[in-house]
Amino acid sequence: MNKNTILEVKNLSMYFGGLKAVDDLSFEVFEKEIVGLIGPNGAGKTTVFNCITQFYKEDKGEIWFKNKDDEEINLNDIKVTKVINHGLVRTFQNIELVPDLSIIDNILIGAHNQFKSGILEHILTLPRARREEKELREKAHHVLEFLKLHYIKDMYVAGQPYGVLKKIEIARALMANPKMIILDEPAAGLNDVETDELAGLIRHIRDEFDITVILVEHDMGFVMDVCDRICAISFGKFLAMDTAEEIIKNKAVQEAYLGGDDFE
Amino acid sequence: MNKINILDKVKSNVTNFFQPKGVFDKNFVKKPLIMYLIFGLLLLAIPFLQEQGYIQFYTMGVFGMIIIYTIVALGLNLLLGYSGLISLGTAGFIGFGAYGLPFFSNLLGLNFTGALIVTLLLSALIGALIGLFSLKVEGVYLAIATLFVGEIFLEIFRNVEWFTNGFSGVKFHYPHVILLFFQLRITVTSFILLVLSALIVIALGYIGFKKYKNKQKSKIEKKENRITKIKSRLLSIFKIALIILGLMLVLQIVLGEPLLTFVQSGNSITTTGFRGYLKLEEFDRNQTFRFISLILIASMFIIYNIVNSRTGRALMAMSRSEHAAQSMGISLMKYRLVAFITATVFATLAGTLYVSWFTSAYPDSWTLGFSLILIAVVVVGGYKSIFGMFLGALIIHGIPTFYLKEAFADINGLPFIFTGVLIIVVILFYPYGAIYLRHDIKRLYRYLKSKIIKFIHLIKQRIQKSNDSEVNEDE
Repeated sequence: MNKNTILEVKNLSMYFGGLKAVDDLSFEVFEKEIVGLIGPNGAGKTTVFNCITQFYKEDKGEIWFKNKDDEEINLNDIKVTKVINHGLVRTFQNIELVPDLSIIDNILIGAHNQFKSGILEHILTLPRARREEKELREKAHHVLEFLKLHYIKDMYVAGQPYGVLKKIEIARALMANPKMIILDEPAAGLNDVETDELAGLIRHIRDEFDITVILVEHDMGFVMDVCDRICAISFGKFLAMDTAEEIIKNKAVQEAYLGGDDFE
Repeated sequence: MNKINILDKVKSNVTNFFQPKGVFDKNFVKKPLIMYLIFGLLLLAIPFLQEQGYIQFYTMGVFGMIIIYTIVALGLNLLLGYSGLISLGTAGFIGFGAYGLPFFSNLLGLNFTGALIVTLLLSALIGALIGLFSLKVEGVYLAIATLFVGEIFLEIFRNVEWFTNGFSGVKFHYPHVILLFFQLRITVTSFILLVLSALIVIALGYIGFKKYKNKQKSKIEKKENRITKIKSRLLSIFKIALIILGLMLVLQIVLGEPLLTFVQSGNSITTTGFRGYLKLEEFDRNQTFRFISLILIASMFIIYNIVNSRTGRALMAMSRSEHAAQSMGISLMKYRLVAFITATVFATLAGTLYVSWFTSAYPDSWTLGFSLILIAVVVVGGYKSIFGMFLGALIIHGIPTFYLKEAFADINGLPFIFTGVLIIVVILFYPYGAIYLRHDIKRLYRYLKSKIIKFIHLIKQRIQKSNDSEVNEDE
């Protein structure tokens, strides 16, 4: 692993029966970079994400990640529930929030592993449990303030507009003190104004918290706008990884992605 | 900026703590924990009402049963409402509690508390097994699996005579519990003294607060820091004392002899040292009722604290989306175990209370029908609500036995048809539970209030007009 590499995917393969969802894929992500993963429908983008976050245990390959303590670890050896402790957190394609909890409580779910007090301490509301709850609530408030959502923090998630829900998911991810965030289609279902705002937000998050971002998105304008580098895959195979301008010019990407037609 | 915000918060906490007017404040009463205490006091008044002849002997029995229903429903709610899991074997666990308590107190020669702890630990173990099992099966399959756990229990209750005494049932007595080493005898004079001293404390606090409020402007930060420190220290000392007392209680059970006792002789309480012994008398019916009410309030506190902590949030996240929960670091196994163990322990606790309250238990009470009725209590009362459980128990068990049985005494079974219709109506109009009635009641109250105000206004205007016209006519 290079000095400023944070994530290195090496020869990743994942099969579903006879279907090769991901086939010998390798790429590298550098620190504080925004990387887009693109590809036609069914190219295996979400599968790659699921492999990185250990929802799927890959059939072949290695995924090296530089964690919070700057140790290089192979994510394969780590349980799905422990991935977050190393500073890797993801959001979901479909919103996966708890509708009948308030916004701030939803965000506190992201801080689940930062509580040190156990269930008995919570039942007896011992000082440590109360202190932790108070401190993390304070922190959640600051995260919400950063996303300009603090004025609705006590409202229920149910009934909030789609753009707000997306932001809450990002806030929940930020709550975990991540080193890298994986965003699965963050702009899906947003209108143009909201998409622009989101692009600004993602860059802002990167600059403010020094967080690396990987995202999958179908909105090409958004991907070209926000990403430093783009990785293109097709049918689980690696095509190219470069800056937006170079990716547009890349013949293989054009063919795979647009069926041989010219871009634009 | 942030520092100022935190200071503001600390300040508001301090003022809330020291403001005696807070006790009479609407928001203070609306705090859930205070509400549970008030509710508990209301329940404690029931035996008193019965003594005075305002309610019947039988009605108090029904109230006891409602409390037992509520305790089961509180545990089941954590499973059904918060975690989205299902169990059809609840009746089996209640039965286990009802038979386990007499069995272990006879077998091991333990007193009430000891037998209670053994029974609860065993049920926690069985609950953990089912929790592990639930990792593999979901939805309908989990329902079927737990259904047969319940059926296994039922067959054991019917046929294993050395444990349950078969169809003739077991007999038990009212509990005798060691409550904090000495029994407090409350006389009228001591009660008055207690109230007076409480009033004095509140008054002193109020004066102190006023002085503090006048002074604080100059040295806000120092004082606040000190006061919050003192407050938290006092609370932690109180809690540590409680824990030590609990540990002593456990030791006392293990040793079978109290470590430290207080004997009340005349007006003075004297300690008799580590080897003294205080014979405890069995509770009477009223004391037993108060005892199970206290356990209900404690259960409400426990469930409230679980639900409003990270455990509750984790359970809700798990029920909504297992993938999202896992990616947030929530271990499915741990929280399914928590949900199942809590539910089974609460059911077993209710079972032990059942056998202490009715002093007998028979195998045919613990059928699938009973489990389903408990699920109905949770659904009718309201998912994710704590008072809703009591309301559900009141609707499902209380109303048919209180009123309808007397009103339709001639025709057998009619009360239960009525209950069925009532439940259907509640579910139709309040699909999220009868607890939402309160919103409608509030709305109705506001509506009526506005109407009455309008009406009064109208009458005033009329009177004014008629007066004016009279004046005109006079002219």
